[in-house]
Amino acid sequence: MSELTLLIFRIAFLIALWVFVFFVVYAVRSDLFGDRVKKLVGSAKKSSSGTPNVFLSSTQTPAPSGPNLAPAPGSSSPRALQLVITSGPKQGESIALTTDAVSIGRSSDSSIVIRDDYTSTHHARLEYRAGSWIVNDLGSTNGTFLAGKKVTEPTPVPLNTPLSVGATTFEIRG
Amino acid sequence: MPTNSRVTEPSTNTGQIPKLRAPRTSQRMRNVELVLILGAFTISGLAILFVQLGALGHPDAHPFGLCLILVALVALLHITMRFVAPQADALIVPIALVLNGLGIAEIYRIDLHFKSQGWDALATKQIAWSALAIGAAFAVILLVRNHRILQRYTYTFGLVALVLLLLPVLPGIGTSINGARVWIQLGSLTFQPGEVAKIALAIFFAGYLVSHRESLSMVGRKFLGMRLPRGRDLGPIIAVWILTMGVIVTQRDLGTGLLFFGLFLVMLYTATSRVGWVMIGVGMIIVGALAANQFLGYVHGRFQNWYDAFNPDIYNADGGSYQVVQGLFGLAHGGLIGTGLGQGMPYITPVSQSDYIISSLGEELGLVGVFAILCMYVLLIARGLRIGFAGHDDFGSLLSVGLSFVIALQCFLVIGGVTRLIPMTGLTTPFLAAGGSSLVANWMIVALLLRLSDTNRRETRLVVSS
Repeated sequence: MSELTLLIFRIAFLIALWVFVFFVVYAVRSDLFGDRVKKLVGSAKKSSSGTPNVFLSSTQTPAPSGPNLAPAPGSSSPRALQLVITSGPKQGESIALTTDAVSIGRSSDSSIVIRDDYTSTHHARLEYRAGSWIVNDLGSTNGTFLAGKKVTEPTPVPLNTPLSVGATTFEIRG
Repeated sequence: MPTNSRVTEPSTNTGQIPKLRAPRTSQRMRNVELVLILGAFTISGLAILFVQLGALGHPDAHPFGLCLILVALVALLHITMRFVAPQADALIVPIALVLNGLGIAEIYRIDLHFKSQGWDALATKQIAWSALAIGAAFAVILLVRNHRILQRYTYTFGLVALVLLLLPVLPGIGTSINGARVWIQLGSLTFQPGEVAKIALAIFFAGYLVSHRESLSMVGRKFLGMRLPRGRDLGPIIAVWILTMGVIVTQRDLGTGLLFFGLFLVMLYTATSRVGWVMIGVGMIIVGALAANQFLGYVHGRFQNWYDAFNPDIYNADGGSYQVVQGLFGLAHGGLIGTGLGQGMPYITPVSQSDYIISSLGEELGLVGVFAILCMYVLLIARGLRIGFAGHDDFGSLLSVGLSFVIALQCFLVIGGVTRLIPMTGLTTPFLAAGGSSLVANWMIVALLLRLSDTNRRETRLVVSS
């Protein structure tokens, strides 16, 4: 083996190592720069001045109280709460709250995946702590709003109070 | 898109979580994994080939045959995951594989110098242990279908960890190697139970902290602008501290002790988000370290080898700083791009295959190569923390943070020790170093992280898309 061949192999191997590292970084790019956004056809223009505000007023028409909002049959626990979507594309849908945390974001490992222009990859997180639900903004671009106020620190979420993430508004209902 | 098909079930009022399937994403994840696994095989194969060209001057087909067993096992793992954990993280297995492969190549390189062959060769043993470790990961993936099951056995795992820690001290099966009594011997096989104990401990800590976090996050009096925890909640941290000191004193193993205490501290901080705990813990480590330096001869020696490494008296002393200084010389010899695989002299350093493998690799791959290895560790740990961050239940989140932090702390303690940033503590470099128990434990951590990440993605409860 000549010196030159070995030198070429040495450098080639280091390049191969780094190519692998960069390929891995490329594969996790959605963690660093956010998931790709599907362009919405004819969606509202993204204005920097707090687009979600339309949905923030607490006098917003509440979700139609369909069968979803009735208390779960057979659930005797007084704390059987629901997280109800009161406005947005899936208005009226709800999930039952257990003691598990509820994460909201565009990433597919969130509990509630919201695919729109305004939601960040990991947007907000609801956690059950000492008897109440606490909302925490995870550094989202467009912010999380509780009763119209931007959430800047872990904040308890009272019942029937609108919580907005992007174009979707939630309420916790008993 | 009103006709979106992602939401498969209308929401219901029962507490059940509707299972959403996203076959497209999961297939994509597994395909990315497949590509990266092939890349990992290529790099490992090239590493072995270049070692042969550098050290022997000609290729030798013999070790590749053995490695085919590993290729087959990884293929089996990958195919199984397509069925039992299709949404698991795609990057963890490839990164672990590359590190494992680089380790085998470097161990093989040192075997070539000492002309060891067959079962005397550490590389052969390392390949066999890797096969066993990947088998263990396979078993964990198959058996643990949901990590919440582990929470049910919180205290069982605590007991298992304690027994595993005590095993090496027991007469009869416990043995001392190089001064540390952390091995058990079964026939000709030696095993370090402390390595597996760290997983059991992580599970125990996660389960325990989830149920006790409320009281542990209560604050007592304020001190220096920092809210300290209440005095009556100090019990657990003192118990873990005593356990740590017990390991350091009876087993003469500084690294494992520090690892356990660090693990508990980080999980406690994650569970309670109280900086006060970290301050108390760091204070306890300092007290423990000073006391150990004072009263334990071997700890004092480690400190001296670190603080005054280039003193000729200490360098020449028995158990002195010869090893750490040779490791540094090796790294210096490697320079920026290294001497090339198989062309350095890493075998001069004692135990260059295990504790000092990073200086062996540093000599032959240079700073550029070591940084690539460090990047891989960072990416692996970041994946783990990210899985914890996205976790839906507290137990799963804490467990993944704990498991990834174990790898992080271990890297810091070993690589910091080899590069003389901190005193050498005698742990294994995860995935790289020669040592079966460490490989088995780390691959089991990989399997648990895969399981946790799969659960995170499976438990999406509602998809809103406009």
